[in-house]
Amino acid sequence: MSQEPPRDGDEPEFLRAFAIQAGDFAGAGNVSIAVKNLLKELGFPPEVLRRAAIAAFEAEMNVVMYGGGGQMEVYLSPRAVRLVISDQGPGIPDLDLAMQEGWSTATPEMREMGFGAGMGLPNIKRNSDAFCIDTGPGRGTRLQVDIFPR
Amino acid sequence: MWIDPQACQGCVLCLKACSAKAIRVREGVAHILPHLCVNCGDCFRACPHMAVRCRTTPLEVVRRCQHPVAAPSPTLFSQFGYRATPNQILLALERLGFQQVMDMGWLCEMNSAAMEEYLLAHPELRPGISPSCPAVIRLIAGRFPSLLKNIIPVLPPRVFAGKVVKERLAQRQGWDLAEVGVFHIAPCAAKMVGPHDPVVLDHPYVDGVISFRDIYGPLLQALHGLEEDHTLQKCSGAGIAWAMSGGQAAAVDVEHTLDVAGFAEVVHILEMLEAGRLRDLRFLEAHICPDGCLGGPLVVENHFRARSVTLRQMRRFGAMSRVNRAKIKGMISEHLFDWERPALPRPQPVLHHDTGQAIAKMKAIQALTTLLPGIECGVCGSPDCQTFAGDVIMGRAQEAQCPFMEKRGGPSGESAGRVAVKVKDVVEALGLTVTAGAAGLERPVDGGYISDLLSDVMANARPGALWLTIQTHQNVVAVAVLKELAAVILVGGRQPAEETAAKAEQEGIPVLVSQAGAFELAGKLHEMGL
Repeated sequence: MSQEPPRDGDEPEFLRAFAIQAGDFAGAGNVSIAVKNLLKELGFPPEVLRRAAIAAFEAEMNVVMYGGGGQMEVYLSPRAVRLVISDQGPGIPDLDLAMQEGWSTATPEMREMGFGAGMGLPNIKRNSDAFCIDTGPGRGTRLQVDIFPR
Repeated sequence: MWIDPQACQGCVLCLKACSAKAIRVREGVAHILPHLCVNCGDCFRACPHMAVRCRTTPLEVVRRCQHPVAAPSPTLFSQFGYRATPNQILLALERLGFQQVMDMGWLCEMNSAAMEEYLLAHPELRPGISPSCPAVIRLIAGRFPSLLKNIIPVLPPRVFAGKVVKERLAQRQGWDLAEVGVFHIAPCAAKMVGPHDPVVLDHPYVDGVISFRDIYGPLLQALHGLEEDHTLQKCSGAGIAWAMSGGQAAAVDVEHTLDVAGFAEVVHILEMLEAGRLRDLRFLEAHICPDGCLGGPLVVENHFRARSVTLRQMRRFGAMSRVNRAKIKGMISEHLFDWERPALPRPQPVLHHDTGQAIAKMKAIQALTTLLPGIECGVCGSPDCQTFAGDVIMGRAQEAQCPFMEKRGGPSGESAGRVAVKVKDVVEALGLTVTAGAAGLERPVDGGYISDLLSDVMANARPGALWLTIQTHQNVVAVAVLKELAAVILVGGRQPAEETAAKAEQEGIPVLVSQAGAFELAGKLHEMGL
């Protein structure tokens, strides 16, 4: 996306990693809530909290539903929030398709719970300033999302 | 809420009960941090020593008032069993000397209608949040300021009652406003706030909050032999059940309503809303107390029985509200329900106003948290280890308040600043004899280890430790070298074997002799802060 990246020397540094459990629908959302509260305590503006919460939640749900568990790492600098979400799951075979709004491979059970609208990845991209995904069949998925305070 | 320092025992019960993490125990007395407290009453419920007090209005104030008006929460109707009707309870209040008794159940029904009209007029508001529970409003203002715009700006019934009394009734009766007192009779003290509370709108319409507990006895007496000669009750079951969890969600007729009660559950729902979930929701009724106002901290009746009584009354008086919708619309156009000022955010302190420094502090907190025992005992006076770490880094607590850290004298920030103890300091302080290895007297000391089994020392002693033992043979030196111990102390006046001394000399490992036994010596080393 067309946002100025942070200047050199302002690379976000690792702060914390959160484990995401596979298939844990009851606990799903807890990691993104923890990430949001962490950013809140650090004094990031509400607009950053909002975008980070949405991106984190969608990514967390993807790991819960498809990724077979994984983790979310938080990297921070005053000018950037970076979330790195990774899993050892099956990977996404056709990324272009997955990035299309409305495309979903959710099971009926997932849809029953209100997931699987096919808006996850597009929603993450829309709420981030830099979006980078590394995935492919059999090699898991690593998603890196940057949010720059405006 | 406030804590009576005389009655407080300094235990951890309120500290652990406080969901807002707003209590600290310092020097044996619990303190409430006002910027975090939402007045939920959990500390009041938890305290066995009656040290937590609710700020409510004593009945004497009512007696001194020229024109006292009662505005009782409809929850009051649930406190006297199945036989007492709402009308009888209102009449009993009149007998107690209130010049006017408002049927708040009726005003609650009006409020439901006004909220519903507001929601219909503002379809973009998703969801509208009921403004009725002041603790929830305070929670939103502090922790979820982005949701403040979702609170339906309709005056809650108690405030509306006060406004009606002061702007209409007092004029009609020819009362001097200075002599009118509107007293909300309530199951909680959350409404009792100073005029400077940024979020609660009661001032200046409500003059005091009377606790159910204080008025229960007098009311019970007044109910006895009461002559039911006129009717004050206008409300239906909808108003009677309004403050019970689910009462508003049932009364506000919009698609997709949700009622939630209890601190943790409310936080969970608000977190979901803030994360952009629950997008279909039109109306949220949230109570900080379990089961809504029926579970308020100042109720007398068990809240399960209170619910049973409320449901019975609801069946008896019908759930259909008789509030005239056209009249409500007229009142809305007269702005009678309008808030006079917006609910303001209650900004929570951040770690530092500079984000870079805040991140550095967060890292320090994390680092300290990993050193803490994680058993969440509360002995330090903070509610849990993570909060304690935050308190230490923010300068609100000392690391040594944690009994585990004190014991360990740990390698964290604060103790790292301490002057390191050297072997020679120990020799001097405890009057030890240096028998060999004087070259190592400058070695720094970090703790100690007592054992006479060499493999145990190999397995468990930490580098830099003093080793207290009765073994005098030369393998002792070998172990000390391998484990990089600071020095060996032979206890009980034992002397090293000749080869031991020679080897120690060669390796520069001090071998010291103490006349004291290991137990006594360890005690003294501890006193030195090791």
